[in-house]
Amino acid sequence: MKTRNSNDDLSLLTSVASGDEQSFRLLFDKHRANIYTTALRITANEWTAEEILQDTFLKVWINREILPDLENFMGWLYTIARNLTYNSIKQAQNEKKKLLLAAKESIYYPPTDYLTQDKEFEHILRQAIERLPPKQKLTYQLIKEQEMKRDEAALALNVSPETVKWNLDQAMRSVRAFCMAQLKDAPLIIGLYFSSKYF
Amino acid sequence: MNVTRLEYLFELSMNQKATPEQMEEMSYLMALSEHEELVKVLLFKAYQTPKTEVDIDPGKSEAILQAIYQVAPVSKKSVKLSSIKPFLPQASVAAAVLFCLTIGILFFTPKREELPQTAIQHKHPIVSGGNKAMLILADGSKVVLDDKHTGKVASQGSVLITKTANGQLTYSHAASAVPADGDNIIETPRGGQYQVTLPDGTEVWLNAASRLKYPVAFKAGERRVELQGEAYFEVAKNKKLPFRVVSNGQTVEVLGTHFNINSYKEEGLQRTTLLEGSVRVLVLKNMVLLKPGQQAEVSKNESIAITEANTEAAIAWKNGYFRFDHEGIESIMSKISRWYDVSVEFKGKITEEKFSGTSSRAKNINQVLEMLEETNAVHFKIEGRRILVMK
Repeated sequence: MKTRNSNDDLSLLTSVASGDEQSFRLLFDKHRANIYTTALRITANEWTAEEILQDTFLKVWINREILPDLENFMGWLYTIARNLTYNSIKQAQNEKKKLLLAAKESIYYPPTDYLTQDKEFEHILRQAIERLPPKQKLTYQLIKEQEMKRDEAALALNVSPETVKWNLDQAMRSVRAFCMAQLKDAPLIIGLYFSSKYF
Repeated sequence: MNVTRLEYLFELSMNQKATPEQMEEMSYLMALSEHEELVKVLLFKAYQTPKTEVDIDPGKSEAILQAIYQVAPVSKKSVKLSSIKPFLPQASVAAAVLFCLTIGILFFTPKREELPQTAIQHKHPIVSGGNKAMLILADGSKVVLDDKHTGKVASQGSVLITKTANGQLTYSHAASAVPADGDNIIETPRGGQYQVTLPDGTEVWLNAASRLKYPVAFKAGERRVELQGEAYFEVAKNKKLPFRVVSNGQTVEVLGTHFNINSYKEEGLQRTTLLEGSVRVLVLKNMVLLKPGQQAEVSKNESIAITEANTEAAIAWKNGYFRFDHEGIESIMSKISRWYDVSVEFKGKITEEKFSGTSSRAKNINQVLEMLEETNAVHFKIEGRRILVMK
């Protein structure tokens, strides 16, 4: 890939670097279909493809200041997406192996429990939950921590099950994004934590 | 051996030809450490090949952006709100507003006072708009268009006009070529929308409080229509006959393409947004050529400005939802007012916050207003069919 950034791109990248959300949205809109489609073909899983898309652009946003200095933004972007995709495939296979093993030895192997033993992760997760807007936080707590079903949470909060689903979905995304940003070197933990149980 | 097998499987998956078993096998092979290098090359190449067949639905894409902004916010100036609804496939857009859609609400501003239930008992309840229009034939006679009846509406010379159940009107030529003359007009009221297929195959979606005038049969030279209000066009390709939309002193000229024109007088600016192909926008002596994704804004003094547009937001109405993208409250309220056929009054200072979010047009007005109220930047009071907007 030798394509240098065009002038158009450069001005867009410069305004993204300055923290302009509108420009970031344009950048996201420009690339999201390609990244999502590619990820979906490789992983054959919509939720995983969405995660790859979100994590890719989270990295873009967090690292926005370096964008104008990149010789080849697309190359950089695709490398991020590539690495995230690779990690997600590895991780899915690892988890599968463990589950198979567990099944063989007929051990009850809760897929998330050992993760929360990680003190640092636990702490960051707490922070992420604390940062959620009140309704999302409540929904998240009812379902994640008190293990309520969606209908039960809907009843408790006096909202529709769709609203519960939406609030939970947004809460999960935000929590995931926050954890990703805090734990730069531990995408595996996050991947495992979020890949189970919900969808 | 495995390497070539992996490449073969990868190729299949990229062409969407792999069976679930093959996908399984591919994932297994990809995760083997000895393949790491090859896999990384394959993956990189895959991302380098642009493909856009599957797009993520707008609600989810909005949710992703919000999640990202929340992690690393830049400024608190802009108020966010958002909601989600299932994506509507293009084919069913005309009928889309009829479906009852699920909506979820996302709350971004932490503090919220409990608001009393707005507008409940009233003689003329506010309902969301639907497929409603009036067709005015060449001889001046009028036909009411709604969802109730289907079939033949009228004939104009050799041209037969029929309507379907989902708010769509079609012009078709009968076999005998008796020339058809005159213009037809289709008008949508406030709270109405309608779709029409013109004699040349061009499809037009008409938003609320809009009016389109067109000849029953296009003559040689040009295909010319006149628009008031807002419409989305998918112009049938015909290089010999340019398609021209005249609205409010502006002419948009195309050969075959997809674009939206918003020319409501109360909005001040006339906006033409291009989705596909290319169009020329002419105002007096000024002319600009738009590229896909661009928007031409024509102001009252006839100057034209080109901006990069959020095309999804521009045609959200056609797909059955409101989509606000850093939009001021006045502009949002004029959309609401046209769709729910309500009047809007601002009380006190008008908030300068910008709102972003998505909501289904099939929803009750309360839900849209409550969603805006969630931001705490604006509050409403419903009195009959009048909405008071307060800070």
